[in-house]
Amino acid sequence: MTSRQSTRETDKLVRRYMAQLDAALQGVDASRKDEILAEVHGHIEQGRAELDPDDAVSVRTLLSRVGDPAVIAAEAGAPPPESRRWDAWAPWLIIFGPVASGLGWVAGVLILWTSPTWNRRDKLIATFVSPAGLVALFFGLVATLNAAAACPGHASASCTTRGVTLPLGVAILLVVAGLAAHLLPPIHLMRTRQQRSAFA
Amino acid sequence: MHCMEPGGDINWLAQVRRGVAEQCVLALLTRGERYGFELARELGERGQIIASEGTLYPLLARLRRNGLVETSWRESNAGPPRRYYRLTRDGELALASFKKQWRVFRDAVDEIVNEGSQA
Repeated sequence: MTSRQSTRETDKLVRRYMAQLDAALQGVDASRKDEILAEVHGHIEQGRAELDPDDAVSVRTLLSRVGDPAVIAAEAGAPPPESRRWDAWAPWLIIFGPVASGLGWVAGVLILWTSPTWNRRDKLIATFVSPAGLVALFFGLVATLNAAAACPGHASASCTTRGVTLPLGVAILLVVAGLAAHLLPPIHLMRTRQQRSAFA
Repeated sequence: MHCMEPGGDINWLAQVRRGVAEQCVLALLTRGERYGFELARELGERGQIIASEGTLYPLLARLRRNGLVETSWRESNAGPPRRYYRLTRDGELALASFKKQWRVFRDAVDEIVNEGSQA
């Protein structure tokens, strides 16, 4: 492994640790949270200055001395993990809730916003982008079907469509983008949650 | 409590720490102002006082909010500026009162625990 790659690896370790701490500190008021994050980050950087900053093993040791983010968060008065009980359901309800029943989606969003596991940005994105993606997906599908049905073979000027009219390429692009916008935010929620629990 | 353990082992230590670690930080600061990293290393090396080095920072934030320590930013020869912690007058008073009560408390606990083992 070249030293450039290992630098990136230790940077990644620190970044991942800081993301876990950030997530664990959800529910702590913003100014206190920022202060703790800045101080812990400064601590880690000072620790790294004392050792070979590219050595992943010593950076791991350093991080384990800094400690489990959940324990630091508990010291900071973060809400206890009971409020994370339903976390696993939220991403699935956000994906399938709108299709199965609107209530499922509402439940998913409620779980999402009452849990300290995710930060505000992730919550906003999952709440608004994901359903918007589903709407785009729906219109994209309708437009694709229309475009495909109305313009078989060589499209001509006389080709007419009802409802949503878009060129086939644009319609397909809309389907792909809509699907991505619908699925990626809840997938991101799952990954954030797994990273958190991996350390607890 | 989420930190309840079978036997309550970790739990009592966490609870005692919660009050005592703050006083230990105040005591370390009587020797002059320090920055977080130094305090964390010193407490960490003595063992048991803090659960892990990182838990020092919420503790310091709490002391600052309660007016027992104050902070100032200083340039360092290496790296970004550091936040230095210094005892306030309230912090000195709090520590003085802790020292008095701690002696009585510690002696009482020792006495009771030792009585138990001699019986």
